[in-house]
Amino acid sequence: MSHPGELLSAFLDGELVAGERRQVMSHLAECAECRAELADLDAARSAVRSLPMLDPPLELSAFEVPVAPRPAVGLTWARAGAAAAAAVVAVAVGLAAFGSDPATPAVDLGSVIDQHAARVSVDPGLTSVRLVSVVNQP
Amino acid sequence: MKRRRIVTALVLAWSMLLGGVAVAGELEDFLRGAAAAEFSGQQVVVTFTDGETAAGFYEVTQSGGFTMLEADSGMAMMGEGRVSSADGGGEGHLRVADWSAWRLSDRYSLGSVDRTIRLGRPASLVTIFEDGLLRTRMAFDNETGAPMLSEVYDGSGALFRIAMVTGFSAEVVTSRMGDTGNLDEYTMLMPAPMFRLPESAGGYWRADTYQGPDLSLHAFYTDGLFSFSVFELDSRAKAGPLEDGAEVEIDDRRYRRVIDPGGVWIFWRAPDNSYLLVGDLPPDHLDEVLPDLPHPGRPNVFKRIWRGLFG
Amino acid sequence: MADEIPTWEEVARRHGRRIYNFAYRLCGNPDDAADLAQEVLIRVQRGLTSYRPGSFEGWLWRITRNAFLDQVRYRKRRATSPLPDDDRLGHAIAPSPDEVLASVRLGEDVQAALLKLPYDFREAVVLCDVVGLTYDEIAEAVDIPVGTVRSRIHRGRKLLKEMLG
Repeated sequence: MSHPGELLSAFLDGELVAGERRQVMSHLAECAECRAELADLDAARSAVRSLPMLDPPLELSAFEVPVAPRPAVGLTWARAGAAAAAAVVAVAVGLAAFGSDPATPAVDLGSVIDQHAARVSVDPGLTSVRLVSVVNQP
Repeated sequence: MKRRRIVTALVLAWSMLLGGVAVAGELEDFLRGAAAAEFSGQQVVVTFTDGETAAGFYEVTQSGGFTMLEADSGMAMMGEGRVSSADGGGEGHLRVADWSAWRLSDRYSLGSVDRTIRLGRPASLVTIFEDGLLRTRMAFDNETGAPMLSEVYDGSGALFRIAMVTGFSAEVVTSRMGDTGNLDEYTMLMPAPMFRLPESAGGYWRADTYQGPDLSLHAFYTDGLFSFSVFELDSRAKAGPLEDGAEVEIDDRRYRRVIDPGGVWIFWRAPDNSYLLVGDLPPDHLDEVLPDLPHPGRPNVFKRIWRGLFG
Repeated sequence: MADEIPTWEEVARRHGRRIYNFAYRLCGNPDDAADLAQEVLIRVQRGLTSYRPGSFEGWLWRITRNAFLDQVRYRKRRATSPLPDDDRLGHAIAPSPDEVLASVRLGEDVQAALLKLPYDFREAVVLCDVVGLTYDEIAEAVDIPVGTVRSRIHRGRKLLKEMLG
């Protein structure tokens, strides 16, 4: 395929259908120029996504009433900082409705697969195959 | 590249006529023996799904109830409820505080046990059927019990995963194994009270539930042969590369999927939580399991507001 | 929790922060952002009677965006505020003291670069990367085809990267 161009941004956002994604991936494997472009796009995307969620000024604070956090929150969270953490508390509580938010907790996939593997290890079976996911987490 | 394999009831009947059906306990013995085997070697694991292929090459060492795997990307060791892993991003040590006893689902039966040779060594080639369908073929080293080969087939009879030992030694250099003795280094996963995930899903049962040190909730499901874990996450949790996984539709619902050589990762958002499933189950099992777990979907906020405002 | 019906106030509370951040990132001015958040919440409440089943996100952010543009037009007449639809690249907007204060610890270079983006690109990038909408939701909110969303986000990011180095 020719250079994927704007498909690269959609690729980063997970907005491509499987066929397009495969095309982009096989192109990326061949094309250093597009890999560099992808890295640039990712840098810009990350820069905006890591902007902290700001607190509205006092006159809007009537909209921000603290709610007790649920016990069931995410796994190990990577937080951008205190401001982001405050935003997490405010938005994470029962806010399933409103899509994703850049200031939300990130799941630690390493911790997830370790938890799975720790339990797997006590059962008989193909333990080495089960360990593969630990070494090859996405 | 999928090898198609036609499996009919005839095959099963034929193998039964030959007296291949063994007592249920024999299959369990093979699996227990494989887990306890002492060996080291190299291993190739390849998984094929929907045209995606994931392959990995590993050094494997199994000794004293622990299995260690090393690859370019990192290493991991597990046994006795403990796991240690290390990669470029750091290392982790986890252990489970408690677990329920292992048992094998009665949907599996031993089809036949044949003599074979693997890497020049006498071995037993074992077929495992699931309700009349060939599910797995495995070769176990006769002397050590080591799993030399395993092939897993999906519901259509296509080869889905193959794990092959390509270099084998019954000698284990135990010094290669890290120190597994110091339990203080391990973060403990405590049993958690029951939560909303179902007691069974697609023929798998919820064997244990755990709560991580950070209050994450984790349910472990198994059918004795395959297993998976489901993690209940914050509804807005970011799942990193899983969010960019392939979009797959199962039972008219959409999930994100990432395949690795040894397993599958599924991520989805439900109205109240996000969920992450990881395990080594075959794709047709996944099709049966996911509909039994909380369904993906956005909450219908408008409806709830409307009811709140106007009854 | 699934059975609890949130009151309107709860929904408004939960939206206030995202709407405020949307506006802040688009105009870089805390006062305008606060005004906008208030205005949007009033409009959303009124607008519920005309809501048609579909994407709630798309609907909400369409209202938010229109409120923002209305506010901008109003201020343009009064000429007190920088215009978001100024498409000239590299057109530096003098930051207000408030903005400087607020952005000291808050990625001021990224905010400054955002403000230099043409409005269409800035809006698409903010809806995607600050608000967290999908491309489909952005298409519905802005009333443009998904292909255009894709193109605007891509070009916006390329320009941002050029500015941020």
